[in-house]
Amino acid sequence: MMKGEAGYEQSQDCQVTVKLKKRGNLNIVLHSKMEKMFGDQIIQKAKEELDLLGVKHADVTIDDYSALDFVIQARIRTAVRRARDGEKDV
Amino acid sequence: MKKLQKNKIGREVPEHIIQMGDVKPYIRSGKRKENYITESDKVYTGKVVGSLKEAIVKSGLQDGMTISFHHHLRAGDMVLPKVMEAIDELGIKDLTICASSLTSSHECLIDYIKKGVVTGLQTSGMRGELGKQVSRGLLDTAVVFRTHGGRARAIQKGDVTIDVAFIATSCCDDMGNMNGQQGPSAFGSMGYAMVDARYAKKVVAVTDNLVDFPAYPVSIPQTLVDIVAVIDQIGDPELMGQGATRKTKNPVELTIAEYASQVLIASGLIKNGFSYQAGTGGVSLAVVRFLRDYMKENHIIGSFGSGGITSTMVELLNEGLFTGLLDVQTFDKGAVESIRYNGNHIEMDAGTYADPLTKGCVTNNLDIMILSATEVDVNFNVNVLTASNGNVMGALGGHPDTAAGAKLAIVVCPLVRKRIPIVVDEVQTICTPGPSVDVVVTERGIAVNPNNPLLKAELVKAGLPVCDIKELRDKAYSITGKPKPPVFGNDIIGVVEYRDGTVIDMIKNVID
Repeated sequence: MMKGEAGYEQSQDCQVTVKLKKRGNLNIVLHSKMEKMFGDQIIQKAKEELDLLGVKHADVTIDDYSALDFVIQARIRTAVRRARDGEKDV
Repeated sequence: MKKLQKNKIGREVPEHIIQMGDVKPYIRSGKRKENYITESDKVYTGKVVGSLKEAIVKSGLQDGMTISFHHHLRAGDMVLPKVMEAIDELGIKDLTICASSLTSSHECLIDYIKKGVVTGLQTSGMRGELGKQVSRGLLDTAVVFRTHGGRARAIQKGDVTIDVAFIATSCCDDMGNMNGQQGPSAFGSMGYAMVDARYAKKVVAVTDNLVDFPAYPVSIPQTLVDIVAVIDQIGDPELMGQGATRKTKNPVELTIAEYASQVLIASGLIKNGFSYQAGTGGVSLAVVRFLRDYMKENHIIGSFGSGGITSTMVELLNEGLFTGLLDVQTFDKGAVESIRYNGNHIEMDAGTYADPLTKGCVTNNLDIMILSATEVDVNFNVNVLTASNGNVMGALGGHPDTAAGAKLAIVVCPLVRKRIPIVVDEVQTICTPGPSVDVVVTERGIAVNPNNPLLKAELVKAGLPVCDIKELRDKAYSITGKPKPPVFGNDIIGVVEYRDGTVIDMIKNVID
């Protein structure tokens, strides 16, 4: 299983961890102070981004520190790329 | 479910609450005049006692009474916690606290509310865990939120009767002459407490600095004081001015400040003899610095600066850019020094500051007021009391008073704070009614209240990025998305009183 991380623990950023799997569901876990207000919206955006990147089997954790959507999408993209780079290295 | 009535600004408010009895719905902003009530107290001798318990017993405090505190020591206040501890030890219960405001130093109230020592709160606002728990129904009675001017009015008019006022003072003599300017815990103006001293049935001065008679200057005179209680420490001066005089380098805040100062200049109000008030916080203080440069370049001398006074305003006084400062609340060490030594830095009581029923309050003479906001809506209504998660986390302060009184009331706020949109469809809690607000300045555009078309024309002429407030709202939502509103229950945890004593809005309990 290949793992990629991106982002920092600071205000308006988020830390994304992506573990790519061969099979199984796409699980997204979100931790955010904004969960009640924006949780659904963040999960939706994350799904869209992962779909765009062709990720179908993965465990994704988003530790959000009040980031805007474009930040979350960018961090997901980088985390996925790093996970895939790791895959190639093997 | 309580019976509700619709007020003139379209909000539903309760018909009756325990803390108020029959609720008067908000009618309109305006100024009324009524004679100032005077009251004479007997002069006592032998006022000094060595402990708070002794003072409380001597004051005759009993179950069910109303006590008051000021918040001039803000986050550093030790007097409210110490007095409440002594009251609890004496077994007195069912008290209402009428405070000028409640800060992070007052979280002990949570326990006293749970124990039944405190059953009612009247305040300008509250923060932190106390605000969160009150928002979840900690109290059985609704909190009455009052503006600084509204509180002075309510006390003066008798809407609230204070049985015992506990007044923290950093310098007091054995007869009760006191000030907040001297001593190791000096905090500056005693503006809010001056009203309590005048109208409370019993006045207890609480000091950590008993000086030889006569204490001078006299902010509250001995004629109003029953008891002088001496304790170890009234407050932590380090915690008093936390964050108040932050010099911002944040580009968003500086952009807002620059636009706001351009609005001021374009308005034509910056001329000899103008009056000005700004709140604390990065943007407000940055506006003052822009304003200072403009005044110097154009040789303009203002009349007075008022309100909560910071060292930034003191700098302008010392440079001769204002004739005087009228100070109801002193925000930092530099300003405390100034009020102590500079005769043109003048202490002002809350009634003089903002009570709409006096024969003249300073807020009504203001030319310019710079205001902050937690939220602003498309009708220019402002919320400064509740957060987007529904919790009480702020204070009305002098916001509604100054907005109503000033010729030009400018709200400065970022369009988005973290992920929270600030310009919205409808604010959660109306604190300052839209008709009082002239301009909303954000980093992405300036919206002018449609009832002020001449100002709008001036700003457009000056080349400022003027737009409709609905455009600002749309921009905000396009960046953040539209948040899910918090889930509220049916209990009324607070009502928001407008400065004239009418109720402008109410706050319901938040359900997790």
